[in-house]
Amino acid sequence: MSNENRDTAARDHGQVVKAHHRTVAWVWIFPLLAAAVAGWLMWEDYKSMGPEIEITFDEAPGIQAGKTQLIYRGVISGKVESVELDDALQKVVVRIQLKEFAKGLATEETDFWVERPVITLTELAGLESIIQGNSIRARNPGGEPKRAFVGLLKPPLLPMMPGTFTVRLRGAQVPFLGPGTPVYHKGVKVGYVREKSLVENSEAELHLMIEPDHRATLRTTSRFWPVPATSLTVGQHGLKVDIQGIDALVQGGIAFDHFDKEGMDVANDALFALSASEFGARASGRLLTVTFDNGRGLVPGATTVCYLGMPIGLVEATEADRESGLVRASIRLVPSYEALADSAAAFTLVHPHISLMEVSGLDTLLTGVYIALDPGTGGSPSETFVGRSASDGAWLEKEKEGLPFTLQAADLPSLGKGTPVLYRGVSVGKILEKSLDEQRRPILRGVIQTEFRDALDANARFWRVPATSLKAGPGVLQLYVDGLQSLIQGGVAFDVFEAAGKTASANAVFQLYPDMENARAVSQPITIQFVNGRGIAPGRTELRYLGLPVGIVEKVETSKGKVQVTARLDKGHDFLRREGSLFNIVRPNISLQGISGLETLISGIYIECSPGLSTRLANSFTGHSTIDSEEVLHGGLTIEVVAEASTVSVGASVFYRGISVGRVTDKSLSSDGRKVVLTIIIEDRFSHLVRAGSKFWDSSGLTATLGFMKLRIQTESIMAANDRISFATPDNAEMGPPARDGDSFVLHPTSRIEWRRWNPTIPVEN
Amino acid sequence: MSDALRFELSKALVAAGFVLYLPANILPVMTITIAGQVDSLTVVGGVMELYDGGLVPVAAVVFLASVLLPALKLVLLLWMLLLHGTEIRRERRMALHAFLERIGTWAMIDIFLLSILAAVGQLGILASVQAENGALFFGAMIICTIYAAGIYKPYMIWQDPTPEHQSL
Repeated sequence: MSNENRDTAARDHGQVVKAHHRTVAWVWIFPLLAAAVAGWLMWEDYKSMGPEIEITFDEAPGIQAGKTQLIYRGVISGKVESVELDDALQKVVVRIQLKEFAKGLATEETDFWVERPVITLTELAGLESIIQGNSIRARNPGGEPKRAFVGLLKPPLLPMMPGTFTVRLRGAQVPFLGPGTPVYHKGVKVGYVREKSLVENSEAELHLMIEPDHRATLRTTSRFWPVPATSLTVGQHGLKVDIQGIDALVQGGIAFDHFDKEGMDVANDALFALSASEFGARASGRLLTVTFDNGRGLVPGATTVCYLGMPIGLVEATEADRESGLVRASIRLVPSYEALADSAAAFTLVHPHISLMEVSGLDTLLTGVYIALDPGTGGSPSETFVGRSASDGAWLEKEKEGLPFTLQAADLPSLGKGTPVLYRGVSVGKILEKSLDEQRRPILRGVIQTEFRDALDANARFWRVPATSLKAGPGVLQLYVDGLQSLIQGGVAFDVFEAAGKTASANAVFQLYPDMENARAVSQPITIQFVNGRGIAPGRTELRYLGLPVGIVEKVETSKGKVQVTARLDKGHDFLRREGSLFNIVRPNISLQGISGLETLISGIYIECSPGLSTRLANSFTGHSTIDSEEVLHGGLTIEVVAEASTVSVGASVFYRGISVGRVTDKSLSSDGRKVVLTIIIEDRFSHLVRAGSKFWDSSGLTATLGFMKLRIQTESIMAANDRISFATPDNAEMGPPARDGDSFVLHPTSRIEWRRWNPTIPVEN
Repeated sequence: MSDALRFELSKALVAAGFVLYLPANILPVMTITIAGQVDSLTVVGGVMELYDGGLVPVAAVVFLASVLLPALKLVLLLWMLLLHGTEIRRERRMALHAFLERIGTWAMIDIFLLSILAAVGQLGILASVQAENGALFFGAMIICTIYAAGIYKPYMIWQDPTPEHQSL
């Protein structure tokens, strides 16, 4: 190469220079290329930079210069260049370099906020901030370009996109519905609550955001109501827990519907009222006003108006009017039932009514009171009504139709309004009122239903039907419960015991007897005098004939040292009033000899009657008191036994061969005072056993014989340990004639052995 | 290749090195995304990051190899090329040339680290490392300096100035 160059140089220099020049030129393409690429890249980089904006925040936690990004719709749109405090140390100034494509964010309507994680029960937002750190978010750009912004205090919960449709809701109170609460239409989520605030006159206002897609579901006729987070309904159908959905579980929701009442499209930012409940929202008819004397139990927003038991309306507000002294309830009905409320309609406030007689409005115990609507006919549309209460007299007007009557009695315990009036077990009427008459005697005013009015005879007798009665008699123990409804309250019954007369006239006055026996006793009163009236209770003590009740003691009073009992006999038993009739008080007697009148322990004593033979009737009698009426009335042979002295007492039994055949009915001294005379009655069927030769001895007590190495205790029987008389009749030859009434015998202190060996055959005499 | 061409090429490469030095240091060399947090690092930024992270020796090595050394190389090459054909400090230039040859590749340590990081550090959403344009420029610049030093042969230091050159 050097040789060639040398030759060329010797001949021609210019050529060399040319070639040299060309070599140098292409080499410099490297730096040019590098510069071009670098320049292009730098240009690209510069071009991707948008405007720089400045945002002022109250605080900017987690914002780092050079790192924190500005995110718009999830896209990184810029980067924080610097974070500084302003001069007064009051604000944080954040400078952000926007990207070129995001320069539209630098416009006046854009909202900027610091996104940070929010974790609450109802909300989980900004989760990515936990990982990525806080960021600055932007939304809603628009308007004129702008470079300086004021950041929002807190993240707006819901990104409000352009074209979002909002409505406002107002209500007296907005229960637990915060921002973010879902809005439902027929169960579909169509929006959110954006904001909750108080407006003038301290009403709560909710701003709802409805998604544009669902805008058409909202009509001017729409009604809004809150959906409780979780509702617990206790009603007649049990317990119902209603959870609208998991997201509504905690925060509840708002629902709206127009209930098939077509309306027009709603303008943006329209104002609606929030009803208290779904039913309240449904009841959107015109406002009716009903006045009540007493508004007890009326709850605005809860008390329903029912028609045939179906809720068709709701009380919206209640207000006590001081001038008129009435409660005014504002009511709205469901539109489809609105026509019912014409001027002929009646509104009745139904309270629970419990009287053991009748339970009505029991459902109101659970559901609260309600207003019953009874539509009338032929009324004209009206807006104001006069309501009444179910306990008002007016309400009972209907039931008053019928035959009214009045009952008088000395006292009227436990009978009151609503007590049924029974006729042979059929409820034919009702007691309407309990009050006092002019003489301050209690009276009951009742009514017999029209269809039963023939049953009430002018001669009818009324008596109280006890709620529950316990009857005990000979062999009878009867617990009488006349149906559950009268279990506690009882009732009033009537029947005709005498010859039926004509139908009672209206407002007839009757006497109320304490019980049926009293009512039955229709005869003229008879008076019976007793020495001792112990145990006789007026109105309770019965008169019995052959053990059957035939009358009742009406009155007991003392008269001239005696007890005078006034009694009445049932119909058809006048023969017991004949002269010579016997009346004996039967009392329980329990002794070792026997037990008698035991039933009177339970049923109380009674007076046993025995008709006389005379044909004339009498009104006054003298009664007796006996231990056992049976023996007296059907008494057999009455004899006397005389002893020097005797421990035998009245009531002691008389035995023949160990069998009780009679009884000592009286014990007295003989006229000269030297002897004890025992009157003995021998039962009829045994009377032939006593003959003139019979021997009586006192067999009371124990016979103890102390013998060799043994003690023998002999007694006839345990029962006879004390009082007993035995007798024996000699064998046929010596027995003598049959004893007659009034015969007298000697009572021997002990028996003889041969008496006991007697074994006669005694014929029955006729 | 003639010596003149070698000289010119070397000069051009040094010039290109200077041109590339600017974007190589301004543009980010890599983007590290850790848990969604995006971090773009320049060479100097990377050194700072290492230093802030407490890795002072590593930071020092990277700083030396990636920031100081390329700049030093460019400046020394320029100085050497400017003195081409003169008799000034020829021995020193010889020593310098040998030094440049030896340390030439060290500047690629940054690219080496980056390529390992980018290869290993791919953990999906959790973390990822991506090379950026700055690394391209940086690598190109280093290559320019290496070739500039390589093409300029040590014997050329000893060549005569222009007259001799022109005689060739």
